[in-house]
Amino acid sequence: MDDRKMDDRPLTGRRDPAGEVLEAMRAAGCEPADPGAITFDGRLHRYDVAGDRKGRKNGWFALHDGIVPHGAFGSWKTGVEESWRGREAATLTPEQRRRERERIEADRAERLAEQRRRQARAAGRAAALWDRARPAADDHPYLVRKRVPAIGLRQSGNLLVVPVRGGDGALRSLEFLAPDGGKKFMREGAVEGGHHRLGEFGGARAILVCEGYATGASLHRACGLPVAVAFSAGNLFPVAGDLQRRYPGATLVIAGDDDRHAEGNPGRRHAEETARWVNGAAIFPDFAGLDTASRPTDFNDLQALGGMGHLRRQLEARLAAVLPVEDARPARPDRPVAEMAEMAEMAAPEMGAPARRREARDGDGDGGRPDRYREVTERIIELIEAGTAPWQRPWDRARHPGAPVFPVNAATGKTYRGVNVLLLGADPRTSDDPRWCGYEQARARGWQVRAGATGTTIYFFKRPETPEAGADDAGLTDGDGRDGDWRNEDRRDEDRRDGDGRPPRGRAPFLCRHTVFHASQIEGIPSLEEAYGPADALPAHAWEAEDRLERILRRGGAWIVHGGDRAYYDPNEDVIALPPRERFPDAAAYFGVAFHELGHWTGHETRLNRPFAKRRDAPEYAREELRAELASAFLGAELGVRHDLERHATYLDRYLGLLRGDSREIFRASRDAQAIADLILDRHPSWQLRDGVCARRTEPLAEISETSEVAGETATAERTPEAAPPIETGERGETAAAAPPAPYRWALAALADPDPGDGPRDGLFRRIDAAWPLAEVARAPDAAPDAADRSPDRPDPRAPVAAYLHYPYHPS
Amino acid sequence: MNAVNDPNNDPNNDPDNDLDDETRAPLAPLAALVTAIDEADLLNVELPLEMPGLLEDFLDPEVQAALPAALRPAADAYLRSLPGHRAGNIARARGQHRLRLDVWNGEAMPIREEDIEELGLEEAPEDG
Repeated sequence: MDDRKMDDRPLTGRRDPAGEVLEAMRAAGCEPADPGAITFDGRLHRYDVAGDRKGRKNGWFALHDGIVPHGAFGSWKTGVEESWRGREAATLTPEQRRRERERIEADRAERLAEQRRRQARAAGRAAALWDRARPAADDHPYLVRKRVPAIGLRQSGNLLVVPVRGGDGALRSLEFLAPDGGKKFMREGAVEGGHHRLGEFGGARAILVCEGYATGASLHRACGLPVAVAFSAGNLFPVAGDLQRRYPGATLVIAGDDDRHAEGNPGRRHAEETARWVNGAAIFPDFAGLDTASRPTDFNDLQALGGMGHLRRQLEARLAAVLPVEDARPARPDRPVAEMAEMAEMAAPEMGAPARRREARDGDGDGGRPDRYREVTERIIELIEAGTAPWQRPWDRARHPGAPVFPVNAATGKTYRGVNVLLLGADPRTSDDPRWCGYEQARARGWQVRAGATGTTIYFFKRPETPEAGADDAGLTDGDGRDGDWRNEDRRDEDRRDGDGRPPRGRAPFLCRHTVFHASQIEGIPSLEEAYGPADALPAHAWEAEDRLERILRRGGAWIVHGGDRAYYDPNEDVIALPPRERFPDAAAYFGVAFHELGHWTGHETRLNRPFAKRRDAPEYAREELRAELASAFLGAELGVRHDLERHATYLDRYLGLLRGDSREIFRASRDAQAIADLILDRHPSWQLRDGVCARRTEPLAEISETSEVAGETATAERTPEAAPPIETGERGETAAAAPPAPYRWALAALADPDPGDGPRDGLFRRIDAAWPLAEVARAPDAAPDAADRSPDRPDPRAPVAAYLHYPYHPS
Repeated sequence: MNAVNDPNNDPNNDPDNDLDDETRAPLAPLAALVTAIDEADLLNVELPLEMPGLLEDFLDPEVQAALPAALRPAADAYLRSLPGHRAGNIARARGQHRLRLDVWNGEAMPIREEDIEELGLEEAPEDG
């Protein structure tokens, strides 16, 4: 008997293969609603799983006939995927088995190849559809019903379109969400491992992974953390596994569905298994106390039933329980009651509605287009809550003394400005090497961004430009189809502004994302030593030496009074009050406080002219504090001045309230903080900012007498005319010459600017007391608690009006 | 009627489209190109180039070389509409093409002229 005959002989005992595969499908929980759908033709088929809504077609199979029928089946909903083969294998000869294995392998390879071809074609169709779809509006019925905004979605007809991207960002497929809640994926598109990202993943210390878009949007809005939408329970692990490889420093939190009404609770099972495999954590919604008649399962359901506040609180507790301490939002149980009330008041208008929808109502956004201001603000809030904002971490890492501290463009040498300083400065890598670079910039210089490197998003504005002369008609009309005034132009828009300096219509600027890469992600980039010289051959850049810090403090020309136990800047008097330096534990603590107050000092109307609040509960007060905080971080980095993180943390909630209330505030604050730092750093004896680049000073600063006042405990306040600031007009010396003597100016200021809570006479007393604490003690020893017992966050009823009181010094 | 030829899908005509004039103007040349691509029915034929990245990499010589002849006039017109392209300033042309795509994709946010100063915004470097 030859082999062929032997191999092709009919097999005895062969039963019904369709029945066998149906049995296997039933055991796996994906039995087809119509058993007649089973066919052994080797092609991929989709089918309705018994129990699912008709038309969902979550099930699939590809089955081959042969000596031993075999194939695979599964469910995209539950993530089940099983290989299957008939039962006759035991009756085969060894040669038949070998040939059968080869055949199965060949079939599998062919199936995979065909699947890849189909997926590639699907990716093409997906990209075309995606290109043509328009940004989704928040008022789409699905989003309204789910109470979430459109984040990174588009709309095609009445369908919402969710991109399914691989870990590399490439578009693989699309998910379509119908107004009635129906969901469909693009036919033949690849979904396994694909996900949709909400938020920034670069540098994230925690990433949430969930099943559906609405769940992801609710989670992202509630906690601000980046979220990967995996689309199904079965896809949780492929997505989480990919994220684990790409973001090894991030804790993965699987925010699972609690499918307790479904057999086997597939949502919980997959989430918990995934968490175990990626060494992460699984969290689930708790519907206790809510009406569960609708059989809720996910975090979006929790938001729908309990509101955003309920979701936010529950999520905060869940995350605090599973994240490492530094990743969880810091709990501050000792937060003073007054501060809590103030925070609640500031943040109250923000609660309960997604930001973009709120902006649409307020007319500050269109509800469909991206709000980059909000996006940046949310990133900063994330940093603050994670404790990784630039001003929340110490600047004591060793660094190259010749390199700038501020983030700098490696290609141009220019320092980044404004909010980009915050965004890049928040990355710890900036402390080691401040250089960043765009992809094209790197490529143009022969450098290469490493494969797989994840960039960091910053923000630039761009302007549409006009084409050169000779451009033909095609497409060169304005938005209304008219020939624009930009045809046959050879001029840049800067040359054609109107009398108010505005560009021509249709040439308004756009705020765009821009991806940059850190120097450590770029191959071929010169080393820090090559760029800035050998580290050991350079003079010290930071001002470690106390005398140098002392000199810059005095070179600014600020009037500094030593005495009392409080540090503050009084804008009325334009004076900085500091406790005597011997009452600080060390010089670093003294200079940390002094430079913070110097930051406030720059806001005087004769310098940077920032508004100062009359009351400490006024928004202007928190705004000014935020600016001084940011400037302290910038200055601390540049000068090597210690930044007291513990004290600064007490203000965090005020900042959060400010930022949540105004998405542009962080931009203004960054701009102002940069101006503060620039103004003070301009007095650096050996370095200066030149065209945005920190460079060695070529001409020495004019020498200024450094014989400033030194006062003891009795707080005498004298100043030297030589210390007049040579920075701005309206110098102190000129002002002093025209103003009445100091005691009268105090009195006039107090009378003109009384505290609403009491009369002008009280204000005058407070002002005197502030500068002469002995008089305060003698006059009213029991009138107020001792300063050492007073929280810095509780208003001091005797505080000088409009003075910026920050750091009551607590003698140790 | 395909999607782009449908007046309701044309960003210049769609009454539901809330893009204002400032947003629409830079889109006009790109819309013409997308319309041409759509009319060329590139989606339903096997091409040496896959659709993903066609618009993204439209300025790349490989993409230009692979374009079918039917698309050539529209492609040339679009390239002529790009500032810097005729003068060989590829970085500038890329920057403007990128901006148009960002506007098209809903990634770019129109801002007020005053915002630049008020918010301390940085202008994008020409070479990306």
